[in-house]
Amino acid sequence: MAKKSLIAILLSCLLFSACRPVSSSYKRENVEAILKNICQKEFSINEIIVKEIKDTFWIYLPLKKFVVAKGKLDPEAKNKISHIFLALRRTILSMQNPPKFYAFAISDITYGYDYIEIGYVDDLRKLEMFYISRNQLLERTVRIIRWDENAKGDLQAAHLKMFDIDFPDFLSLLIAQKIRENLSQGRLASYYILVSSQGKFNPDTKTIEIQYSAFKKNEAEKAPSSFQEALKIAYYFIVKAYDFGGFNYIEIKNNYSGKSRYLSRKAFWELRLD
Amino acid sequence: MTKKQIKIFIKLYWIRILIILAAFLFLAAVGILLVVGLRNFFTLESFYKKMTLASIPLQLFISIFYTLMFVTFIHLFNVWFYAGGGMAKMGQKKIKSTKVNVKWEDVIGMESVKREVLEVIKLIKDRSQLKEVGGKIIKGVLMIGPPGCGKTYLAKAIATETGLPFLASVGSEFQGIFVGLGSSRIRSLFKQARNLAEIYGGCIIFMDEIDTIARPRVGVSGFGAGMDYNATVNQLLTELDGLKQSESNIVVIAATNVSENELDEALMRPGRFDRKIYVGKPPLEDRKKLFEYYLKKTRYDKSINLEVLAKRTVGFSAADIANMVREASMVTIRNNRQVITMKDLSESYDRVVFGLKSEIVLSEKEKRWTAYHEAGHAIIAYITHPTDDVIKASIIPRKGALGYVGHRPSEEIHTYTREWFLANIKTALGSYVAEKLKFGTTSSGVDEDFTQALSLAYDMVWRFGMGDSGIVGNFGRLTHKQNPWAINISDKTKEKLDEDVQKILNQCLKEVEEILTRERELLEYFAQKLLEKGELEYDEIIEIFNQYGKEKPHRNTP
Repeated sequence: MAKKSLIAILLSCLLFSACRPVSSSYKRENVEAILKNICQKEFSINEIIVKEIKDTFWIYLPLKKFVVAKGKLDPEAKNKISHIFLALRRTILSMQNPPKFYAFAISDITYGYDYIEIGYVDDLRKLEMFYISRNQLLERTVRIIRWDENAKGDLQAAHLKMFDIDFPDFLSLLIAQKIRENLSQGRLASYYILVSSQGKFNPDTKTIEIQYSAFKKNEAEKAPSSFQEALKIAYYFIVKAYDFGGFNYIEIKNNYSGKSRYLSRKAFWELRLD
Repeated sequence: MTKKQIKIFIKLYWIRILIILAAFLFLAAVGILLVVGLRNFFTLESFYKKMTLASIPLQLFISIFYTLMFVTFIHLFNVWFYAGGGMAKMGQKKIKSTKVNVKWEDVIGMESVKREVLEVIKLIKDRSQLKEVGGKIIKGVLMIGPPGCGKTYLAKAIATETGLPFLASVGSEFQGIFVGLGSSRIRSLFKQARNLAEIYGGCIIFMDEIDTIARPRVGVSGFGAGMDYNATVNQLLTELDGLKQSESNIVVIAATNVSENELDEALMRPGRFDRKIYVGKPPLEDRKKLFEYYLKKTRYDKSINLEVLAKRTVGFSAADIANMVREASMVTIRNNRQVITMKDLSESYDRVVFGLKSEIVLSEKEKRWTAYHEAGHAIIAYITHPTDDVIKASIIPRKGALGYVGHRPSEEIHTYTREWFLANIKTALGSYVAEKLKFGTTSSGVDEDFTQALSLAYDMVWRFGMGDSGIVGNFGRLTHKQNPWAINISDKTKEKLDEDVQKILNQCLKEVEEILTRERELLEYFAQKLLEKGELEYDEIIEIFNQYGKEKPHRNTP
């Protein structure tokens, strides 16, 4: 009887001990130092710059060698990037009151080349919990690639204009990026020539404005509608991926053909472009 | 401890030491892993800690779910294996009492037997009364009787009535090529019964033809022959009432055609087969009820006299009556009739008793021969037999015989007098004398007749002390090699007994010769009638004998 009681007590202690809440490992105020510390101690990376702009976390990594050939990254650079990204994930997710967005900027300070990845922190959380795959995370990341002379020799991220990102902005950029990818590299690339694609959010009218410029390679050829494709992409991100309702209108316009649609949120949701 | 002591200790307990060592290493490894794991866990960032902790309830739920599923599966498998028969090697099937479906009302007649059996059923169903009195449960019931009298049927009715699982087996199932197979099968049968008794509150084991494994144990020869048989019997004895006694509500019902004396004594003692129930052939009243029962299931002519049917079928078992009604329905269909008539029943009676008509085609000469042969039987049977009526004479080949004469007692006989034996011997010899008288020679057709006559004469003298020499005793049984009480009798006595047999045969032969010589005209007439009609029924036979002023002989009533 005594033995049974003892076992029951021990088990209860074990069970109830797990009820204590787990406190965050890092405080937001110290995150810059912590991230630098992790990179230094664990990966021997000393050159990163960390800055917090409201709800967006910027990490800047200047590299002497970044891209060695077309599509190929320097192996050392690749290593550093993956380590920093890992440290970033660990820190942001275990942070008290984490930011909403992160921006990871890598500059080739030899040739003046910027590569910026802007992501949504919630997507990182989903990735860790296997709710979305790596490919899906890549789809949900805004990538900005540009040449910038001012990047040459910039170890302090002075040439970068760091900004705070809003979700509607992020979504607009994502939609525009996906339209660009599909029309220039994807399945519609064989039918269309894409001139430009941009997206922004008008905070006054709360309108997501997506504008692209694309025309058919061969007018006579029967091709899938680029406009319909753009609508589908917008529907996917707004409704299926993020279930976002913080807008009043959405405007999609093909500047080349002039075709556009201006839909209210309700009308857009009712499109059901599954 | 000295070195030597340590060595001996290790030699004796090395397996245990190894097991303890392995267990210790395993626990140590688990402990280390636990410590390392926990330490690493505490160094994790909060997000990963939360993830790990959040997955614990789900993992716990999944492991409990799989454990429950596994346990349920094992439990169901055990229930199926033991209760459902599973991969039983014997092939004996557990029969659900609902599937047996032989109700108590379906058992016709056998009132005294049913009374005894009902008592057994009551005790199986409710042992509380018995326990109050302090009595012990009946372990075994042995049903003895000739084949077809309803032993198996009764057992099925018991199963339905008690509502308990019914394990049916046949004695021959316990025999096999390999030594030990029989006892192993007995063990597995009883094990299954015990498990079923636990689940259902009781179980009935029915062993048909138990004489296959219940005869007395044999002596073991130099090469071990007989050991397996003895082992099977011993196992049965142990299971019924052996050392490991336990109050499981298992009743063994066994059936056999052989006498109780031919079975192993140890099995027959109280505590094993406590009840011995004799299930004999149905008497007149029961036969009437049986005909009524089976005919009710068919469409039959209501004018059929069941009493006459019952009287005609003396010596019939319940199975014979069922067979007869079944055959009658087929005759009805064959003759394109809608209802079974008396004629159909007569025809089916002939089929059951005398067999199917044969394809043999007799020549005229052979027909004549057969007619006189059968006429000899019929006349002697009619004139001399104290109890039997001649019910049919035929020269239509059946069952391999070229002809036959059927005679049956009009009522049950339980004791056979000297006159009865003599009448049967004379009837058998009637054919021989008839052939000799008519054709001046005899044939091989008397083969079976002589066998019967000799067998009867032998029994009269060797078993029943009916010989003229006055020697009394049952020499037939006591000289049987298998009989443990076998005695040696002198050659002189054997000679005398054989002489008595021959005397009886010769006397009977003489009498038959006298009768048939005297009744030559009757013999000729009868044979002619047989040749004319092929078959003579009872009424026609009576008419022939009445024509010649022959009345039925006086019945030898004790």
